[in-house]
Amino acid sequence: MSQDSRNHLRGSLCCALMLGILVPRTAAASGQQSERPEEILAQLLARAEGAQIEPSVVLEDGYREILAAWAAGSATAPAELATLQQDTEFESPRPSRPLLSGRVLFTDKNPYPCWQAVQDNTFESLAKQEPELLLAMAFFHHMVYAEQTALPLDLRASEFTKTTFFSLVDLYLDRAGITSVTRANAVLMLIALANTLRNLGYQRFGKEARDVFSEALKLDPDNATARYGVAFQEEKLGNYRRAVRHLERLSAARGDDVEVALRLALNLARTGKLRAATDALASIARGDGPAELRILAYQELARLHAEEHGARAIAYLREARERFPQSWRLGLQLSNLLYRDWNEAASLVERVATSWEEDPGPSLRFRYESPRQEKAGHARLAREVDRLRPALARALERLATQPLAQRNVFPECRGVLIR
Amino acid sequence: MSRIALLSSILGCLAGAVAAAGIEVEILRPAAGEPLIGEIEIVARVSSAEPIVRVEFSIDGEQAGTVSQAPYRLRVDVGPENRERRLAVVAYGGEGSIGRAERVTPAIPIHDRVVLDLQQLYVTVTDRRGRRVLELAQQDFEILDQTIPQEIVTFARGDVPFTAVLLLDGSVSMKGERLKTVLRGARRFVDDMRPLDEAKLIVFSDRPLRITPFVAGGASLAGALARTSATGGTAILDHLHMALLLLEARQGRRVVILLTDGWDLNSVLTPPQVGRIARRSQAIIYWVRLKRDEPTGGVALRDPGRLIPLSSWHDQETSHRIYKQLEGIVRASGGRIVSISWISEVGDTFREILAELREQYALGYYPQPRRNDGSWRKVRVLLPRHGLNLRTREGYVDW
Repeated sequence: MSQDSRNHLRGSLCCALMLGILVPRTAAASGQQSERPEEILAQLLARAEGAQIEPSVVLEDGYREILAAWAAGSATAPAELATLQQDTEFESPRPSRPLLSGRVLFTDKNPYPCWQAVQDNTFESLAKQEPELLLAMAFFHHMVYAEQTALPLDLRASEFTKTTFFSLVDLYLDRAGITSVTRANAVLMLIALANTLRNLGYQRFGKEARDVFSEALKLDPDNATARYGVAFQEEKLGNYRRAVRHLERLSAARGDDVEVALRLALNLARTGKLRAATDALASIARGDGPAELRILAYQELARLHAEEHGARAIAYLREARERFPQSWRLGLQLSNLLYRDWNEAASLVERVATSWEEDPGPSLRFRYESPRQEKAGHARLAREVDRLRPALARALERLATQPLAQRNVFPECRGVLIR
Repeated sequence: MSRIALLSSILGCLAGAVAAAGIEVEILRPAAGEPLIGEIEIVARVSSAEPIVRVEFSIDGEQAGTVSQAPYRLRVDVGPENRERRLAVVAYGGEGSIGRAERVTPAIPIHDRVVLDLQQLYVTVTDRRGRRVLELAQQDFEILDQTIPQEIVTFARGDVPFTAVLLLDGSVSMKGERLKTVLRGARRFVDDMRPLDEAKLIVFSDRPLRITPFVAGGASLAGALARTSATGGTAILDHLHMALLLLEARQGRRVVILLTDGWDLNSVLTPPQVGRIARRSQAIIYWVRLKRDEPTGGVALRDPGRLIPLSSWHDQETSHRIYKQLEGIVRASGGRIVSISWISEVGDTFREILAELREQYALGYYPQPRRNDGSWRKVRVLLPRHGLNLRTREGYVDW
């Protein structure tokens, strides 16, 4: 080991020790090591003898190894990358997991600039061989993103993967050229990501989801899924006028879509167009659409009238209950409006309370919060990516045989690998 | 029927108990004057020198069930209809003796001024350090009804029986150990209740996930809550409304203990709509709010509860307003908000609420003057000679 390398390692360790991070992890990993810093340093230096200490090369190998497994059909590869990337975060609260054959110590807390450099290098190398492979890479990173966001702790990792995804879609269009096929693929990828974003717990990424849908809509202004996605997110964000604009365009193009009609009516009401909203809701409620949408329309009619026209609200709910006598939520809502008729109200609620045995499944209002998915598009994309997997495997194999001396070493990877 | 038999029957109805040939039967529950609606439990005490072979329960002349050994309890659904019912319990001794008790239960008085005339106020008094004060006498209190002083006609202190609904958030954020811990706390609450107290548990998310019958103190809820797991969104107001209406059918002190860990995203009802029912029901509402930044595995989670989730049903400003209005409903009921940071605090919090319920003062008065027009009457309870804090409901609807 050169003196420079030793100094580098010492500097890194000092930094890590100052951050108060290294000692507990190292001690926990060995179970026997002293907690005195100088002893740990001596042990680590002894272990590092003969080891490859440049982290970017090691991270790149690890990354490509996981990609190769995915190209060969591994379903767990996205989760493995999510775990690996999280493990390089010192502040990760999850149990330590060895990174390949060693542990990377970064000189700061953020390993993602290094991961970015490593991944970009792989993307460029793959694009040189076959630009279409970038589509497969985007799909893979979308799945990694879903894995990361399933872990509530790792917002930074998921933010990084989202950025990765965007640069991949851009790179894909740039290298593969904008054709009808690549544009359609890019739109599907964007929609897939937007769906993931908006499905996240507590919808923390509502604006981002809206923006990704908007990007897809820019690429394909006639794409109904993307427009519905934008409208849905605008509604969630409280931008009801914008939601109305998109929903009106959708409604004009797809007049028979009851869900679009219901959303439009609800948002019209929120923008103060009560007459138009009431007419639309009554039409949906008394129409022949799906029962759950009709019940929601009745509930909203009653809500709109409850404060100032209580008798009319009650009449709507009684009419609804005649048509949907099994709907407990209609009964509950009615029981509230029957303020002066306690007997009937109590009997409605008693019926709910005494007949309850098991979870009846998500309520309609909860289901309304969940966006509908474009399953056909996602399936088409998955098929396309499956077709690309053998080519990806071959391309990765060619990258793996690259001599060590020719590998790029990235300045973003400020740290060391310790074996 | 002979005059003696007729007189005996009338006396039996009045007293709720008849002694015949050495067998004494007494109906302990429902209490005298308590209306019967929905699922109820009948409890009888039978005293006899000879062995009892069976006890038959009947309602309006129709047999409801038979119990062959003590305790003589029968759970039965009398249906949703609000009307007068005749309840009879007959005990048969092994040597041929028969004991009998009857009770006529009234319909729930909906517009009956006689019942609503007496206003009961349940008052929690604390000193400056927050410790409850238990030594006060009737003359220490003053009641102002719309600023008019009122005469206190009933005064009690301590353990007045109550009927509670424990309304527990079972939304997806309560998954796993969080909900299990809450259910353990709730079971313990029921265990620690007195025999005349009653409670119903409702686990809810965007829909009711589990509803138990009303059970008496000490009843086992383990079976009723088995397989309850957290899932779905959150509709606090809808289920609070349900709890309030269920309680309204019960006599006496009514309590809702609401435990949540998030925002109301899915209710169809609004705070003013539920607030109206809360005022009418006169239930005391406790709101236990569980924060979400719970350390897990030694490292604090980010707190998603600090961000108001997006909802298709209302914007974030409205979500925040709903939250604040719900706080107002709780305070107006004479209850309070308890914020806890750790799921492990739930059990102690429930116990503390139970202790508070046991240490309330019950003040009764006949409001003067009455309007009976459905208007809201503001009530204040004062302790003029003490530097103490007190909490009770803010008023009542004058029907």
